[in-house]
Amino acid sequence: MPALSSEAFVLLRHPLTESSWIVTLFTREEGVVRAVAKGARRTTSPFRGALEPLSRVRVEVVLKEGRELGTLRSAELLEGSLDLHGRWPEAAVLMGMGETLERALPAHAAEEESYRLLGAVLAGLRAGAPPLLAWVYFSAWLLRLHGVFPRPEGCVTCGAQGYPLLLDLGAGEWRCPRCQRQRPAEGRALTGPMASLLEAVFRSPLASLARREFPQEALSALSGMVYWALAAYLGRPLATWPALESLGGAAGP
Amino acid sequence: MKAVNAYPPSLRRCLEELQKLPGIGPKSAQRILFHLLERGAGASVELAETLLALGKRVERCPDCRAFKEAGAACALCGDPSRDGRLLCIVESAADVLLIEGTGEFRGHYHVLHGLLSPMKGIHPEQLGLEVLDRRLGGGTVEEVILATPPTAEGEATASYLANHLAGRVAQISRIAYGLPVGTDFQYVDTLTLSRALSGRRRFL
Ligand SMILES: [Zn+2]
Ligand SMILES: [Zn+2]
Repeated sequence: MPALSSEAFVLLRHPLTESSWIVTLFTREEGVVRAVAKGARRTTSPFRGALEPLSRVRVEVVLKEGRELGTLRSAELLEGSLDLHGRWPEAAVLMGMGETLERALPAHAAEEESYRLLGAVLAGLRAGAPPLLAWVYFSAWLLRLHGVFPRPEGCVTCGAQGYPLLLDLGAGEWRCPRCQRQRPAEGRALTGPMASLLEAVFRSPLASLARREFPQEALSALSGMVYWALAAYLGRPLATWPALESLGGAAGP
Repeated sequence: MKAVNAYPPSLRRCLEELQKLPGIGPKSAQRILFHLLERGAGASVELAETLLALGKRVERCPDCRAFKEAGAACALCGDPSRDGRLLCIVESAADVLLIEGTGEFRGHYHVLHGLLSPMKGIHPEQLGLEVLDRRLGGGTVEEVILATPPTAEGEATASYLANHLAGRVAQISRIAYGLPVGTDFQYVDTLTLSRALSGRRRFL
């Protein structure tokens, strides 16, 4: 029987029976794959400890033709996530990333850059990046990789270089207030300080931003803008948003 | 299970209800049902009355949120021999029974009735923090033991609670992560082993 062998992040797990989980895996080779982990809830299971959300694992999944749900054959823990879950509000960022990826990624389609992004954000949190910055970094990059939140390089229509710039979410383009005729709601405008923060996010690894000071007001405003774009992209707000609010960002939509 | 359609409606309804219980599949539900029917009407009536009392006579203790008989004092909070300086926070009322079974702990409890999991709709407001704060406000508690499981949700809940409790109580402890008793090292996963090492305690 063909088996997928891949490194993966565990995104979510739901109880299927008293003894089994359904796990949502973000595999490096094949993107999102869902599989039954038989007996994983028993204390004697070889999967035990390897299927906590946001753990990095090496898995073998047996996939049957035409079936959405595979069967987990093996899971070896490469890097656990309990250290970060044991730090609030870092844990809220992990919960938010798990839900976002589960909803944003298509099944059975590898996304190497999104995979690396998740690893980089976890590494950044371990290096001491502020949780709110880590969350903004993750969501801005994920949206950019999905073509809806480009790097701002002036107005796409008239080329004006100043700020504010407004995001045309449907087109995935930035415009100046004169060219963007449909005015977005208050707070959806990218100001100069927000733009330089976003520039740093798009230019540097999160771990290296951990030691830099950013104006809290710009970070908070940028988080509000990115969350607005993320919720619109996903079609509805995140269930984890109330937990993410404790990071201190601006109010969501 | 097409044959089920041939059953009388009352029987079918009972099967459906039984299958809503954890660990009860169609086969177990049938076994329970026929066992009750074989034992005669008295057996089902007795069970029904017991369940009715469970729904009507059992309530959450306003101080520890464990279950108690309505109108009566809580067997845990009302026990004067218990050590009021220790407070153990657990996920469920079933965990209280497990810890009581060890005979190791004689303090008080706070039952969360769930672990933080925004995806499942469990937020801090559901954990009874106001009850906890009230108890700590009394000034007797010296140590809070966070006894949530070593899972993602258990760790997140423990760290959330630790942040919430910081400065309100002299000591906040986390239950140790350890090796299952009687297990050979060869059969222990690396995560458990590394946690057991980092959570080591002084021996001599
Ligand atoms: Zn323009
Ligand atoms: Zn009580």
